[in-house]
Amino acid sequence: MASVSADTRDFLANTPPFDSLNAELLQYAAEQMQAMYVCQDNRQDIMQPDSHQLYLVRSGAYDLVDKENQHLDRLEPGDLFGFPSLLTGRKITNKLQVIADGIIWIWPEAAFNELRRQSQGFERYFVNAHGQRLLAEQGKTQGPDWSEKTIASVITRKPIQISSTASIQSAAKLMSAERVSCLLVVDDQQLRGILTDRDLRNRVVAVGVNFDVSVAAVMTPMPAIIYARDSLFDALTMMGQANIHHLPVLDDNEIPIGVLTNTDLMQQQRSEPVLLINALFKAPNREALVIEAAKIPDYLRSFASRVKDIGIVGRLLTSLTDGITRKLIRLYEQEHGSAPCTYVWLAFGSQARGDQTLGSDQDNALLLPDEITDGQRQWFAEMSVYVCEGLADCGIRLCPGNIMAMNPDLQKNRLEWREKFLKWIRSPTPKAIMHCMIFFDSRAVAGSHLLYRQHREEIAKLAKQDMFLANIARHIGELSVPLGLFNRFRTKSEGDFEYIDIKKQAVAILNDIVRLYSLAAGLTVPSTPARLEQLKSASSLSDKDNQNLLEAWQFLTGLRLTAQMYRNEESKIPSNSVDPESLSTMQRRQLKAAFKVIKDAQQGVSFKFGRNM
Amino acid sequence: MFEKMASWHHLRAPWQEAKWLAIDIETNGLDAKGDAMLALAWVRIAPPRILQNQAEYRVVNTNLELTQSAVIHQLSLRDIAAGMPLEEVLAEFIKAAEGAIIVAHNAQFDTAVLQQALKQANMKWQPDGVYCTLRAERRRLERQSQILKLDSLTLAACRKRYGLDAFSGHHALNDAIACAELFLAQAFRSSSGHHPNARALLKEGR
Repeated sequence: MASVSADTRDFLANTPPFDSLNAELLQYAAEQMQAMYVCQDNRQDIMQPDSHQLYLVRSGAYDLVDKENQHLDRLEPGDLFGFPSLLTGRKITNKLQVIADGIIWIWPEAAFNELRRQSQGFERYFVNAHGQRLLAEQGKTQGPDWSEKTIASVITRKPIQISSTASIQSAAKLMSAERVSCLLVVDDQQLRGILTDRDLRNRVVAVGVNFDVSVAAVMTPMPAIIYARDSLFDALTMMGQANIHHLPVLDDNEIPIGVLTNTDLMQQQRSEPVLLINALFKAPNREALVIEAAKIPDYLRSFASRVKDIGIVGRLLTSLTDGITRKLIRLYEQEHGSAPCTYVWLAFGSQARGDQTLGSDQDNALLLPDEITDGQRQWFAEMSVYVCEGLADCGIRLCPGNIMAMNPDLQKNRLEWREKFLKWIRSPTPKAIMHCMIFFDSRAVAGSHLLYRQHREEIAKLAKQDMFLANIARHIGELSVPLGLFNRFRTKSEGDFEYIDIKKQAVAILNDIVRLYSLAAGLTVPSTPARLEQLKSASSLSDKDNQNLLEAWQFLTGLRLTAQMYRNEESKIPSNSVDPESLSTMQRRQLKAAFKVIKDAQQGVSFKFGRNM
Repeated sequence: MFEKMASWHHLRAPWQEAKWLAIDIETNGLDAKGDAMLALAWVRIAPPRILQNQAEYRVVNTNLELTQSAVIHQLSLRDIAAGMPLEEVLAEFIKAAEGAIIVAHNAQFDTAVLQQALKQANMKWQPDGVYCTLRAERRRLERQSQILKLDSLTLAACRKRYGLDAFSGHHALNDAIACAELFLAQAFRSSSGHHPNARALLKEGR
C-alpha cells in the first residue's frame, strides 16, 4: 500500500465530490492516484481513446476540445474531466489543448468504480454532473423547514360548509354534529362568508335573532382568506395581526378546501419568526411599528445562519412586508375610518414574486373598483401616502422609479389598468417592454381578492399576444449572461476587484424567461417557483428544462441572499454581486451550471417565441 | 560488470524510458555527515507520470535525541518511536531504487545522508545517476544571465517559475512529490523539440 502525502489528501478533501468521502475512502482515493505532467509535447498521452480514466486538474490550464476542435470547456485547478466516457463506456473523442503546463491527477476506472460503489455522495455527484444536473447537488439532504411548509400541507380536514340560505339553527346543528367551531358559507363553490361560534354568541343569541333567519344575515361576509400554496409565514402574519382565529383556505381556482385555525398554527409554531411577527402586529401605533421593524435586518441575519434553505429568508421578508403594509392600512383606518369601497393594495416585482431582499425597494399600487367616486379616490390618495411613507420608515425604501401606490398615476380602477396594460401589449417597444415587465408580477396584499382576480385574469388573457411575446423574447435575447468563451466567467471589473451582478445578470433574466412562459400559458401566479410548478403540464417547456430552471433559480437566489447577508460593510463590491474568486470550487461549478441553464433557456425562448417577429 | 552494462544502456536510452526516483530525507540537523536520517520518502517517476500510487514514506526508529530541527520537520518523538529499524527502511528502499536515477532538490545533501546511513547499516547501493533539480535550475538561470537572489533556488521558488503552486514543505513525502513535479517540468521544457537521453539530461542536473 502506498503512502499518501498530506498535500494530496488536503487538496482532495477540498475538491467536490471527494470532499464527501469519509477518511477511509479519501485515503483509498489518494492511494490509487497517479500524477501526470501535461505539456504541449505529451498531451496526446492523456485521454487515449480506450483508456477510461478520471482526471482532476491539479495545476496548469487546459482547453477541452471535441474532435472538430470545437472548444468545450476551459479546465483549471480543481476541475474534473473524463467521467462521461467512464460512465457511458463510449470511446474518448475529446482532446486536450495545453494553455499552461501542469499536473493532472489520474484515477483508473477500477478505482473510480470502487469509489462510486462505496460512496453515494460520490456516485450522485457524477451522475448529476453527467446529466448536467450539477445544481441538483444543493440541499439534497435537507428536510423541509416547518416555516416553508405550505398551508396545503397542514390542513387536516375538508371544510364543513353550509349554503347562505340555510337557517341559523341548521348551521348550529351542523357545527355541533361535526364538532367544529366554524362553518364556511359557500354557494356554487364560491366562498361567501364564514360563521363562527363567536358569531352565534354575539350576533344571534346576544341580540335575539330568530334562529330561522338565514345564515347570510349573521355571517362575516368576504372574510380574509389564504391560498393553499401560501406559506405558514403568510398565515402567521395574517392571523397574528388581524386577530383572526379561523382562516378559510382556497385553492388556485378559488374553491374552499379547508380552514386554518389558531390551533393548527400553534402546533406548527415553535420557532422564533412567530415572536417577531407577533411583536410587529401588536404594535399599537405607527411609531411602535417602526421601532419593531428596525429589528428585522439583524433578525434576518441571525435567522439566515440557522436555516438550511436560505431561500426561505426571501419569503419571510416578503411576508413581513405584506404584514407591515396591512398593519399600516389598519392603523390608517383606525384614525380615518374604514375604506369607503372595495379596493386592492397591489404589490409588484420582488414583493409580488416573494423573492425580496433587504435592499429591495417598494413596488406597489392601488386597484380600485370601476364605479369609484372622486371623493372615494381622495381617501385612497391620502391612505397611500401614509402607507408608502410608513413602509419607508420601516426600512422598505421608496421606489426611485415612483412605482408606488402614492403615485396618482398608479391609483387606477379596473378599466384604467386595462388601458395601461393594453398600451404596453399593443405597442411593445423595447423601452415599454423593459418598463412594464414588473407589472406582470403582481399580487394582492390587502383588500378584495375577488376584485384582484377579475383584474388579473383579464390581463392574463390580454397578454397572450404573439407580437407582445415575441418582443419580450427579443428583449430577453439581448440580455447578457456572464458566461464567456470556453465556459469562463465574464466579470465586471472596477478598480482592483472583479464581480458578477447575480441579480441583474442572472436572477432577473431567469425571472424574465419564466415570466414569458407564464404569459404565454396565461398563468396568474407571480412567484417564479410557483410559475414553474404550474408550467409542468405546459407543452412549451420540457420537464427537464423546467427542473433545471427551478434549480438554477434556487441556487442563484440563495447565493445572492448569502452574499448580501454576510456582506462586509466596507466591501467595494456592489450588493447583489459576488466575486467568483471568493466562492468554493463547488459553488463556482454550480454558478457556471446555472449560467449555462439560463443561456440555453435564452436561446430556447428566442426560438419558441421570437419567430413571430 | 553486467550492472555497469545495464547502467550504460540505461543512460543512453531516451530520458522518458529511464527509471527515475524522486527522494527526500528528513534529518536530525543540516550536517549530512553528523546527523541521523529520521525519515525517507521516495516516489517513482515514469515520465510523464509520477506513480504516486507507489509512493512510500518511512520513518526511521533511531535512538538519537531530536535536535532543534524538530521545529523544521514535524516529527515527534512518538513518530520516531513508531518508526521502522534503519536496516528495514534501507532494504525496502534499495529494492525500489535498484538501477534508478535519483532525483532530489539539493541532491548532494540527500545522497550524502543516504550513503552515511548505508555505511552505518553496513549495506551497499549505488544509483545509476543523480539529478539535482536545484543545480539544474541554477544552470538554467545562469545561462539566462539572471542575478540569483539568496532564496531564488528553494524548491518552492523553483516550482513557482513553472507555474507549480504552493505545497506544504518540510514533510519528506510532500517534498519528494513536489520535487518530482519540478523535475518533469524542467525536463519537458528543456527537452522540447529534441529527444535527449538520460545522460544528456543528467548533465543539466549534475
